[in-house]
This record gives sequence, structure tokens and C-alpha cells, in this order.
Amino acid sequence: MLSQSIVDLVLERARAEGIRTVTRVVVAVGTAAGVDAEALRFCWDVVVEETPARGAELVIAAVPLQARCRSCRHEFEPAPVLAPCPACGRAGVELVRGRELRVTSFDGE
Amino acid sequence: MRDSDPTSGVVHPHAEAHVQADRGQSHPGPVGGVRTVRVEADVLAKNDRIAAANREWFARGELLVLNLVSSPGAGKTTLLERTLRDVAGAWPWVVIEGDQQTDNDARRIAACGVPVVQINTGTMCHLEAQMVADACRRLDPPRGATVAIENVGNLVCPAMFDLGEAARVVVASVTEGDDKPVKYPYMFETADIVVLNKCDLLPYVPFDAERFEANLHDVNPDAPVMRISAIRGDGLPAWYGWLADRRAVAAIGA
Repeated sequence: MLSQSIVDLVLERARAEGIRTVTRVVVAVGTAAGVDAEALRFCWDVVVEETPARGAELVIAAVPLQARCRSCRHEFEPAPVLAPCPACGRAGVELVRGRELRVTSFDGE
Repeated sequence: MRDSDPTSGVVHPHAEAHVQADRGQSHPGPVGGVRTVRVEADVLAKNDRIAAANREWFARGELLVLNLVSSPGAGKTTLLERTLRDVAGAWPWVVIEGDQQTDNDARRIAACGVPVVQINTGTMCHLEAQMVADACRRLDPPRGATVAIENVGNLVCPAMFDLGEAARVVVASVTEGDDKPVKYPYMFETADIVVLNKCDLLPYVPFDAERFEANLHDVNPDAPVMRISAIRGDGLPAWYGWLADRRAVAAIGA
């Protein structure tokens, strides 16, 4: 479903740009976006079938986590799960980066 | 038709306006007519916009909107049935049921005498804001009602899709692992309240409720935990108290 949203977004922009064939799509996927890269790739070939993005390469750029401690404001790159703050030891951190799911760019002609 | 001419590097006037309107930039790529278009657009932005519109609409109607999420089988529907039987006489409720297939859950809710819309998501594993907007139009909840949205049983994808709810209620159960919060941190991190169901089974299962709460507070120190049994009724007064408090907040638009 997310791959469909990505293709819709790209094709809408491609039409506006007068691009008839999309050959490559670059997406930025945060580690905490809840998106499985393999699942995204798996669906990709199906959703681009019979569209101007047929056969387009999907490039997934992983965005690492960045968290900020709510208590002492220390910023750090947490382990895969939301770990306590390494500076003050308290739980309760907010993600400042790593949730994004963004279409960065695409190539076409 | 191309907006820019790769041989001259000249951007046609109409193309310039076009590029500005799109807030994107195109430039000729290295090969032939292939070029790269910068997009930098959030894939979930459309859902977020619809969710924001939902939230405004809910606020105008002083509606308390709850998004119930859990693994399949944690007891969301049973919790709703019990809640509706106990408190739907005190103030109006409507329910939106999300499942991939069947209207089994909607029938169970309808048997409680509460208006319900079933959404079948088909191959989709979560509800989106537009589905909730459509269902609310059909249900037309009265002012001050509580709208309970039972999401598709899944602790992954529903975390990403804002429906416009006032509170996200994560239902966990003691027949699952007590490490669920750290296995699915992104869902538990977004919880406004965690309801731990099936606590009547605690004597028979290896689930450690203290460890569960410690794990939860590692990813979300603010969410209250309510230990309940939806079947037997344990702990439900605290849950009803929380609902009444949140409903009062929705009514004053805080």
C-alpha cells in the first residue's frame, strides 16, 4: 500500500513535469518508519506494472535514528529500540529523525 | 515536451513558472533525455492532511475519538462489547470496525445496540484517515459522542497512520510476551494508554506484568497501564474513569 502511495506521488509529479517514462525512484526510509524495505521492494514490481514507471529501479536510502532525551535534551543515535538516555540514564526520549518516509527524487524522460 | 533544454542549459520561461509552482527542481541528467526531478515529499503527507481535517471535525462535534490497536486476538472487540454494555447508556457511542474480511465484529457491536460501520480493508493491514472520514459521515455521531475505532489487528502499520484520533489505546494481553513493548516500540511509543487484558489468566501463564510495565516505560514513560479482564470485569472502573475524563476534555476542546 505504501509502494502504491509512492508510485502515485511520483506519477503525479511526472505528469506535471511532462515526463513519460520513470526509470528510477529514490526514497528515504527512516529506521523507525515501520517500513520493511524488503516488503516495499516485493510490492514495487507489481504496483509499477502497466504504469509509466514500469521496470523503474527503486532505491531505498536508510535514514538512521536520532533521538533527544526529554529530560536533559541530549541528542544521540539510539540502538534499534528506544533506549534510555546514555547521558542521564532516564527513559523518555523522542525521535527527532528516523520516522520519515519520503520520496527524495526520481529519474525519467 | 521538456521543461529545460539540456543542450543549452536554458530554462524556458513557462518552465520556470512550472518549476516554482511545483516547488521542485529539474535538471538534465547525464544520459540523453533522462533527468532527475527533486521531490522531497512525505509519502504519508496526504493521510496526515486528512487526519488533521478529521481532528478539526471531531473537535467541532466535541467527539472523543479513540483508535484501538493491538495484535490480533488481544481482545479489542471483547473490551468494546463490555464497555458498551456498561457505559453506552450513560452517553452516546458509535463504533468503526476495521478488519481485512468479514463483518463478524460489527455484528457483535450491533448486538450491543450501538451504531457501527464495518470497513473491510481487503489486502490492507491498517485503517487510513480517509476511511475514517467516510465512515464518520455515514455514522453521523451526535455531539459529545465517543467514536471508538477498532483498527486492524497489527502492531506495525497502524502506528504510522494517524486517523485524527484524540487518543491511541494500545490493547495488550497476558497471553502474549511481556516483551511486546520493546519488540514493537514504535506502536507502544505512540500509545496514550495501554490496556493490559486477560489479567484473569495471570496465574496460568508465564507473563510477568511488572516486567511488561518496565519494558513499556522504557519506550513510553507517560502512558498509564490498566490491568483488566474484559471477560471478568477486573479493573474496568479505572478504564471507565479514564474514558469519562477524556470525554470531559473533548467537550471543553482542550
